[in-house]
Amino acid sequence: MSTPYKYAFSNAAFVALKDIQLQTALDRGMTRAVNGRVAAMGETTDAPGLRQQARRSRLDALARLPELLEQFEAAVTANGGHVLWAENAAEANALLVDLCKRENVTRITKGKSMVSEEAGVNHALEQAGIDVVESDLGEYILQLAGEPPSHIVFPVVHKTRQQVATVLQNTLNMPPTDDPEKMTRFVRGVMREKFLASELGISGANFAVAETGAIVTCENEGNNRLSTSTPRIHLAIVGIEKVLATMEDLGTLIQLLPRSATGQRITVYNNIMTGPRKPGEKDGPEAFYVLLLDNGRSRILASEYAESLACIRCGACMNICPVYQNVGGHAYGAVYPGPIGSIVTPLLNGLSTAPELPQASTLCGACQAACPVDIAIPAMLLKLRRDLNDTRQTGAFWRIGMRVWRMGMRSKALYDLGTVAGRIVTRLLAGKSGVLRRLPAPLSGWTDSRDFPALSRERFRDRMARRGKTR
Amino acid sequence: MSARDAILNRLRKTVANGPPVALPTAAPRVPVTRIDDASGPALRARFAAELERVRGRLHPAANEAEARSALAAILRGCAAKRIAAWDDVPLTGWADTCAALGVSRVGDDRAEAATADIGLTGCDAVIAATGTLALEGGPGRSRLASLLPAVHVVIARERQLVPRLEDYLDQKRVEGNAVYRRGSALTLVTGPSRTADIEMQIVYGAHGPLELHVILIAE
Repeated sequence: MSTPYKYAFSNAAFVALKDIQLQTALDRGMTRAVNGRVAAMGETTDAPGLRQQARRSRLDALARLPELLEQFEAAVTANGGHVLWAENAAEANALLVDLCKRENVTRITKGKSMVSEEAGVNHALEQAGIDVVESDLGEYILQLAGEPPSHIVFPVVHKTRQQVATVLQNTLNMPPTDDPEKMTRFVRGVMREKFLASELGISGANFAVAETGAIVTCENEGNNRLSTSTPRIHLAIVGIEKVLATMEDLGTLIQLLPRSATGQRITVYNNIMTGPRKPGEKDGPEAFYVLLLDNGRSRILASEYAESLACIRCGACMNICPVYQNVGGHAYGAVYPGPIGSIVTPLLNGLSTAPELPQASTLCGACQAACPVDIAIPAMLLKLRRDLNDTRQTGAFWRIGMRVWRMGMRSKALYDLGTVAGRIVTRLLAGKSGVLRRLPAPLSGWTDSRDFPALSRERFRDRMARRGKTR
Repeated sequence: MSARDAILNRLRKTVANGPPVALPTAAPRVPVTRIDDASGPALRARFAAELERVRGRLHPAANEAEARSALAAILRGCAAKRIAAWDDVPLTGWADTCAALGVSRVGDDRAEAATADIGLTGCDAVIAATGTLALEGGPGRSRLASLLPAVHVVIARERQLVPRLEDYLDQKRVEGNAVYRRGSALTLVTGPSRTADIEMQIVYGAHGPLELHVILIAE
């Protein structure tokens, strides 16, 4: 019998909890990110009001998505760019490979893009014999290490500086050092040559603006600027949900994004890119493409999980999450980790591929409180748990247990019987210690990691009733 | 049916019955960053403080002559030999200042621009609240001049000061958003390039400039 306690996330989480280097790296990273966000949001004009303002911009865009996508397409075209559409990852990759063949592209530099991770772009391009290099420092380290990112903003947060040094020494013969500044400078030199030889630059988009046809990327390193400015072609791969109606909407969101992500007031570079090189400009790409990818998003918009599409990928929900803070991103086994990932991943790939993720939360609500667009993450996690139960993807014990619980909660007589029986049984089993240390499977799922206290001799409501009388 | 039409049709069907998620009640827009005093001197002081916070370096200049001296000092400081520049750098005589120090101007293509040790540009707005410079694209302008060289120098004027990013974007909107059609990219620059990818320790000079100098001319 399978029970929800024995899922793969749990196994990965147990391994992660014992990984001392991972725990060190997470401790160093997450505290800083959380403190940064709290300070940066706290000093704004009106943090709660701004969250609702940002939320409104995102939800308004989702409500007008088809209209705004058409407006965006028309604006990009008017700016001299081209818009491509893809239903799924396979179509997107085919379009990309096709473009590379047509344009004789053999070398690509890439700015950070989660949607390209989702679509498996690098793999598809490599299969076609095209050299593709991640240019963000963290992403490049991971590409060299052959690992996926573990965080959507800080991709290599799971590694200590010593581990990063080992990767760079083993793959690039970097002179021995574990000083972040020296390592950064070393990679800068390596990457410069790649930028100057690159024929196509791929970027993601933090936002796409319908009224101007702008692709907007927010970054600190300048690698995104280089990827989009040095090659003769720039292609932005963009999920269809990324669109905003106006530059006014953008003005709010490009400030809330970094405040929520890293605690910065604004990122070092905000690149508002509108098409290929214009007449008289000295540089910039000769051709500009936007690849709009659906990959399940239109289906999600039609579901009760539409709100998950409002996400601006700041990572605040994972930084604050007590589960993420302890197990890191890889344990989720998905491109998008953490609380929002536990919603997005089952929706994109199917609930049966990730039945454990909606359970990977304490439902404490810290994620929603930290979210710059106030997404109801805990409520959606609960709905996904309900879906798991309704589609019989939970174990029989769980389903029966839930049914019994529901019966008990609906009948006072049954509930009273339960409290009396529970008190007698647990007190008998617990003996003098007052706690149950080990229960048989499947209840061992509880006692594997904590004690179960025996029920109190007196029920809370009885005590309250007695106190009421003595007053 | 094309992917485009299939996607749009599905979306149209979904939104036909109203917003998929109820919108929060409309409220007047508020800017993000707090500005307590929007007078000229206060904005100037705020910009200076914010720029310093992000490790940019401010060189106040009373007039163009002082600005040229500041530029010369920066050129000497980084022992510059080659400069990448916009055609419309808003400082008369900047080329002579460079020539006098033996600094030659590089060509436009990327291989040439990559040999420059300093980049010189103007800017189109100086945003006080965040210490940000708006660099608009357009004829005679280069994206790489502010990106490839290790040192980026910006010539700015005090009259270009605006309180917040929202004010700058509104200004562009009033002008019919023409800026987005004139150039291929509008870049907002806030400090030198940086990264915190390794253990969240901030390192300046990731892939872009290691130093950002702003020569702010009063007149």
